[in-house]
Amino acid sequence: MTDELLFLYLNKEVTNDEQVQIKKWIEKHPKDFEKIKLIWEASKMEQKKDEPDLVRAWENVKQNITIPEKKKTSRTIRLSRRILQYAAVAILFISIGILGYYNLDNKNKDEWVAFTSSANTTKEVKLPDGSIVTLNNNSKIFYKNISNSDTREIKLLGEAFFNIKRNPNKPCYIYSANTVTQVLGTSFNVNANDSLNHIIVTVNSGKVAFYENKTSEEKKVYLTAGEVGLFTSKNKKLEKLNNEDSNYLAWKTNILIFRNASLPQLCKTLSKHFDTTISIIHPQLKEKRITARYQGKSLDQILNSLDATLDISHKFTDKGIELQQKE
Amino acid sequence: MPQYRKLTNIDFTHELKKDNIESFEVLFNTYYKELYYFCLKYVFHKEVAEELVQDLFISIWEKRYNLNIQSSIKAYLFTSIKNRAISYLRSKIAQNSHFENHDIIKTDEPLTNPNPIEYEELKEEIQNAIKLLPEQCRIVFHLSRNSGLTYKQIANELKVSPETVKTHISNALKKIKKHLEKHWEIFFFISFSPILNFIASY
Repeated sequence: MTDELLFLYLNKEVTNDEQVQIKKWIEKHPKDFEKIKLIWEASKMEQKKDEPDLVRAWENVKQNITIPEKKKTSRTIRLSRRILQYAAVAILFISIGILGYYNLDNKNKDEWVAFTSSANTTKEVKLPDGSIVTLNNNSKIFYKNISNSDTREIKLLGEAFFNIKRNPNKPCYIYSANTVTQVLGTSFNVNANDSLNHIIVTVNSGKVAFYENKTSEEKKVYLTAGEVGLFTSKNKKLEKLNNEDSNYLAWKTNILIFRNASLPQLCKTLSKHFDTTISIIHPQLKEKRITARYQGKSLDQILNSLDATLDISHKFTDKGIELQQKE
Repeated sequence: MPQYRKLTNIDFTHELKKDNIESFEVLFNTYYKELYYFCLKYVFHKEVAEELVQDLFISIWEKRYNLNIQSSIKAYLFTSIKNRAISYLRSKIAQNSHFENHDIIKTDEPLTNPNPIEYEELKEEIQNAIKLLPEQCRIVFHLSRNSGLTYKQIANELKVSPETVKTHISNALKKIKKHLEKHWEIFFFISFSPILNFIASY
């Protein structure tokens, strides 16, 4: 008796004749049948073991569709549609004009287009494919302005949050220092600040491949939501970690979240976020823990609220801000 | 987030044509999980199942003005996701066709549990063995056990002969049995020892 026939017998996919034969055979070979039966039982997939994350899934879908603006009353629709038609034509002409001019002008020049943020503000850039890139302070991106190429390519200096429009036919590559982050459509943060000697990719949704430039396929690290890829320039080490920094996007959202964070952790995050140095004078303060959410708050407001909740005080010195026990 | 509401077919297609994103979200929330589990029966990978179902919803939204659903929207969704899952599997099989005759199962793979004596442990070992099967073989074996398709239907969907399906199942079983070679005797000895004792007492 063949194994697959026993398997199909368990699946109830055999004819009546076969069934009679198999039953007779089983009586004589219970052990052989038992093996197949065990395999048959164990290969049943256990369902509903892991629930999909509905909220995250919906976010993913929403990011990858175009939602038209809400329409107003029917009368204005008709009117504005007409205007829109003219407007569309006008824009078409103008854009052809600009493109033609641009193409002529840039025929032999570099195809990369640059966007730069200033020293103390972030900047949101919308790319031609609908992707949105938010640049942190002092950052710069270049993107290749070719509509008929098979790929989308972006170079990054500094830190930026990418919300890349999904397009499986046109993968998007982000180059930062000597790493590449490859995406089909997703949102994530890349931090390639020179001072860090690290390239950090934090994935917010979707999936990306992160790797050193000119590497082989097996050296790629695949990251999904909640995961961090870390590349250390010095020893060229590529690692995959869980994202434990709830504030990696604070520069963009201006929301700081602390969950049972120690005071030294909090000082480190605040120092980075407000580009200052906050130090703790009295060692016993290091034991203190805090859970808080600050949305759009200034450093002064946060420090005052810390003083009240932790029973401490702060003062501004030449070296930065010092936290101490309340006198 | 909008509440789960019962909406009929006509409502949904009509609302989608009006660019009503809230209705689309209701549709999504109503069917996403069911579609995910259904798709998982075919593709066996969480990430792949999620991606396929999300892609389906994206494509529905993108072609909403031309959406013409004759059956119920539920039937439409389930048929679509099945087609997507099957065509994904077909592409996987086509990609790996040149590996067909290669025996890529690694028998020297370290075992997670050297001496499975409990049923649950043996089951885990069997599941590990399945993961080590060559991709085509694994796809067919899983489909046969979990999708509810008969081997003839599998052959039909994957566009291979029924004989090929049987061969894959047979190979899968051989390899799994081989993987567990060292464990059978001890497992049977322990779990069936009451019978042995019974026989021995005669």
